[in-house]
Amino acid sequence: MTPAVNFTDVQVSYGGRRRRARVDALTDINLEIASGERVAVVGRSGAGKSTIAKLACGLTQPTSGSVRVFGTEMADTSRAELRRLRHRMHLIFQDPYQSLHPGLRVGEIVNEPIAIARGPRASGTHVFDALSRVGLTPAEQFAHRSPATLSGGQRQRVAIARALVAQPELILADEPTSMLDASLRATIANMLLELQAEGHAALIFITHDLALARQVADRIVVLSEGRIVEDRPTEDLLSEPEHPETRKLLAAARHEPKETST
Amino acid sequence: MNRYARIFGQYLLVVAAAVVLNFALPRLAPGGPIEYLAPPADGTVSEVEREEILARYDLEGSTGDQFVSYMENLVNGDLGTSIRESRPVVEVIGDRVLWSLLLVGTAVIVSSVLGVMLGFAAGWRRGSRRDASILSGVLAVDALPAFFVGLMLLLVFSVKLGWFPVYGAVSAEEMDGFARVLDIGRRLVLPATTLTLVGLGSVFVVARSAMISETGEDYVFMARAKGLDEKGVRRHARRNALLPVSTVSLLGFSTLVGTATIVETVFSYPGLGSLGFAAVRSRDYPLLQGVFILFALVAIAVNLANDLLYPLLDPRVRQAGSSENDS
Amino acid sequence: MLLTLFGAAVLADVISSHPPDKASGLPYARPSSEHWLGTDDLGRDLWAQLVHGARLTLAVGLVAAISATIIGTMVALIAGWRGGWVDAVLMRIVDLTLSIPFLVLILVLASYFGRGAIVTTVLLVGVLWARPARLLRSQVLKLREFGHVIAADAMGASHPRILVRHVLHRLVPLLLSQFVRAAAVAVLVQSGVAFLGLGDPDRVSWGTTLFFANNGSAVLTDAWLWWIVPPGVALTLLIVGLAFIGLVFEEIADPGITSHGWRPAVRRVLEDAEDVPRDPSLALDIRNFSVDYDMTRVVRGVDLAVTRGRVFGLVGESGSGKSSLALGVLGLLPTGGRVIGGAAFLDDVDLRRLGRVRLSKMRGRELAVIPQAAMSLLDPTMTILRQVQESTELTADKRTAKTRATEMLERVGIPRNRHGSFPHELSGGQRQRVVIAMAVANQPKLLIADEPTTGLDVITQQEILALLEELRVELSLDILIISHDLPLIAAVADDISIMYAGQVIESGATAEVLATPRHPYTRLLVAAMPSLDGPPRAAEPIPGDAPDPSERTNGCSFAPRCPSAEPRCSETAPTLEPSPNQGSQPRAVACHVTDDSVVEVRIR
Repeated sequence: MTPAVNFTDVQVSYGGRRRRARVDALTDINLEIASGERVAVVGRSGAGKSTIAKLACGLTQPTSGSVRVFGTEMADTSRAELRRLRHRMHLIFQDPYQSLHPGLRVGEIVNEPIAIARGPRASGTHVFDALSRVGLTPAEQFAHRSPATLSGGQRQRVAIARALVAQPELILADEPTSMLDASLRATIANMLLELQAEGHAALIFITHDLALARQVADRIVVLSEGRIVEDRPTEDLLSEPEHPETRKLLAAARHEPKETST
Repeated sequence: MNRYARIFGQYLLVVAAAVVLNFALPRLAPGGPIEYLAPPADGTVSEVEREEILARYDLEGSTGDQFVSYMENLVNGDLGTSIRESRPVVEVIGDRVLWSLLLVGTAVIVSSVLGVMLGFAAGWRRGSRRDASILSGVLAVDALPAFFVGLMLLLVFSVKLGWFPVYGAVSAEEMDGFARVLDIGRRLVLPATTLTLVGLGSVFVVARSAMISETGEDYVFMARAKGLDEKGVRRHARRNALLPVSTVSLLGFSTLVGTATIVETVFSYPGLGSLGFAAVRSRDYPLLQGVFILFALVAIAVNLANDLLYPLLDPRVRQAGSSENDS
Repeated sequence: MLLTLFGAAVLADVISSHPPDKASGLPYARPSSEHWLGTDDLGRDLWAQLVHGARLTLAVGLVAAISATIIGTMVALIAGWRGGWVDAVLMRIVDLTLSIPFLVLILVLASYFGRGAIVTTVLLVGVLWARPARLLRSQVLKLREFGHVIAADAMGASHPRILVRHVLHRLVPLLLSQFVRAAAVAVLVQSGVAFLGLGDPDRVSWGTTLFFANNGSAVLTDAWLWWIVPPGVALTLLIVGLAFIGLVFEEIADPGITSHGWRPAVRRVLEDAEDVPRDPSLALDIRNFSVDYDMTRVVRGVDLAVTRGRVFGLVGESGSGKSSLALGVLGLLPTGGRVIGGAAFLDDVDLRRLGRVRLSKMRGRELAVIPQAAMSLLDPTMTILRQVQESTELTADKRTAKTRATEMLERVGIPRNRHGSFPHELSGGQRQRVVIAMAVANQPKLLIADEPTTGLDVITQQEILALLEELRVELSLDILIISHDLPLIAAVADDISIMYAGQVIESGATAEVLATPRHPYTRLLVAAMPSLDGPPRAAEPIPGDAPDPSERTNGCSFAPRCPSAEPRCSETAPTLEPSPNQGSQPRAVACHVTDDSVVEVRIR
């Protein structure tokens, strides 16, 4: 079976002429993610995490190397082909305040994947189903609201509902919970897992928090300065971290509690 | 270095375009100068006379030849001979340049300073009573057409009250030293006021909205949070709000140069605008071309100044175009 | 007003009986019943000129403005969306067009190409498109980076669809305001050109009327009153009307989330704070503190006490009122926010009773704050050293201040060779260090840190927290740290309060609260904390969403989501009551159900 995503010797560098190297450059990335696999990409800011997601959906092109998605070489695709590929994947953003069009109703936003893939008239009851499933009930009422009237948590639920409607085979989640409160993180993480299990989709979950990565992923890829420094099953990696960067991330995520001074 | 080289390159191209355009426009126009200056021999003008006129205005020979001699003259600073005044265009323009500079310069400086002050005062507290009153006042003034303001000022202060002379930039009679300066000043007041009122609006609007958007910035909040008094907080907001304003007042310069045409006409002020206008009315094509190329060069120079000055004001642009940080 | 002008233009033939361009009376006639506004030097009726003139003036203005806006929008979309060299070339053209003295250009071109109304309109469009193009293009550039635009692209939407539905859609208010402005300029320029005598020779417009007035020496006779004033006033009214419409659209386009507090909270409703004896071991003592935000109560009677020498953590989700509480104490509430009641003692001073000026003199000296959104807290046009020096100058003369600012920056880990840097040259972690340097520059007694690590990655978070801890010991600071992140607070705070919907629902020593959470919300929060140790377990989400602060019920605000809610929970709201504690720090819980279990424990 073709893997959902396949990176071979991928290199990304920005603004070659500039002296100060830009962040997010990637070097020698080799990564294969099968359908149904849940992979967390972990690293500090500037490690190149987001670039991985952008490469996978063709928003960025590699400087060298090859990125294949569902077996198709991204560099060679026509715009039409790229759009068809994108109908099969879905990107979920960090910032729920920006990722929803403020001029549309929630129902229209959730229906967008269908409208895009099958034409502007296509729609159906799935919008209400999706809204109910993410806990935005009564769905009929939420469908008519404008995103401006929703809280951050509710907006991220709308984003997940949109993903449910899209029925993606590849889910790219770029720090989807980092702007959310503790009590909502688990909610959103669980919904993502449900979405992933339903379509037996591949999930790329980008985060800087290993504790969160543990909740959603069965494999963790640690990035440091644009290179993959560790790529192992979650529990192995957490119990015996090999690379110093992994150990650092682990210590930080653990919040080693301080000795109380009394 | 690279950046500057690129900018200069771009501007050279633009200057070249302006020069070519200046050559081409009159020749493209229907009923262009040739027909006007030298109508085909029909009895009133003989063939010989026609040849003579064409030679005098460099209109003989093929278009290519004409262009070559046009360029030669241009490089030598020769803009041809004015039909209206029968003397070199350079000389005619030279007589007027200083008056124009005086008028437009005064108006640009006063309207920028006033516009920025009013704009900042209004924008600092958006929606306050002060904001509302300044805003509606300036908008109303801004809506007055230049010629209307000019005519009314002329009517009230010169004709009715007789405080200021009706026309001209300097009186014909000989005066010395201080008296002359005073005379020039007196004659400058009304046209400069008109032009200032006209130019005020655009600077004001930009200054106000720049101030409004800066007061919402986090660093202004931080300035207050770290204990600065209101004066200190304002200083931060002002510094940043000046950036967009600088561009506008530079661009406003050339808008005012244009509007000056009207003001100069109303007040019979001997500037370049009224000269251009006179050239248009009397179909003095060499003069018109001269004025056009001068204005084009001014516009380009203003742009260049803006491109070169802006990085000095904004450290973010200064670093060789480093792109904005995401994340 | 504008409608009247348009009406006059349309009905020109009906409401004026004389032809505008032929003599119908004696020259220089005064206004009469026959000629309402008199006649000009050739005996033409001025009223007829006024209403007929409106036609051409408005028609040219509208047509030019519509075409210019359409062209400008298209250029903006192409330049902004394509970017790269297309953008560079188009914008260079736009800048030049903008800087051309266009009145002169129109004069010159009109003299070459004729002076008909159509030529004028085309020329107007030629110069007017640039302004909307420039403004809209910068908006397109911004929108292109917006999440929903990228999302649509990533969902495989076609470019036309994205441009129309996601970009153009959001440009509409700006587009309208630009259109109105273009119309105003078009009218002004058109009448200016006509005034100079270069208007359409075959038609009447306001400008031509004025042209004849200027040439016909109206100024020198009394004729100006009915010759110059009416068209001048009509023009002015038209432009004013357009300007205000434009302004309205602009306000819609940029509602400008009102700025950070230009009006510090009004302190009108000052009820007497109870004169409870002050406890000298407290660094900050907040009592019964309430904050309203646009008539909605967002902080409801909060009590909170920071003990000297201990770090106090305040936890709550966004919208729980934790930041409003801090800003209220600091006197930094944004417009619309207002402290309603309560007291906040720093030592023996009630911060609420200080005037606005005296409170601002406390800030940065005794009372320091690290505000949220650290990424953008620094002034982009000033070097970081200068900005820290602004803080040290509050308590020292210029020279000492500079030395101390340098020391502070080095202390927080910014090497000396970076002190001349501008904020954009620093990483997020470094910028946060600079903000910390500014906050502690004058050795404050109390430091309030509002989400000091949000937006930073875990490792940088850890470094910043470590720095704060070092500074706390060195400068003997008392710290109130605010965050939505319970694990983070758990790691740094000695004492903790948990806020929900504007109230503190549980407080006590951190270790105790985490070990034996008593409020159901705290229990669920602790359970939802992801863990790296022990067997992997599924995260336990808390059902539902936090209540909308404007819809308050009588009962406990957590009741709708509470697994152990009882009927009385939705009837009366529990208050924060003392609860049994083990260590020296008092505990308190606001819950009916837990109250009972605590009481039961006591009885047994």
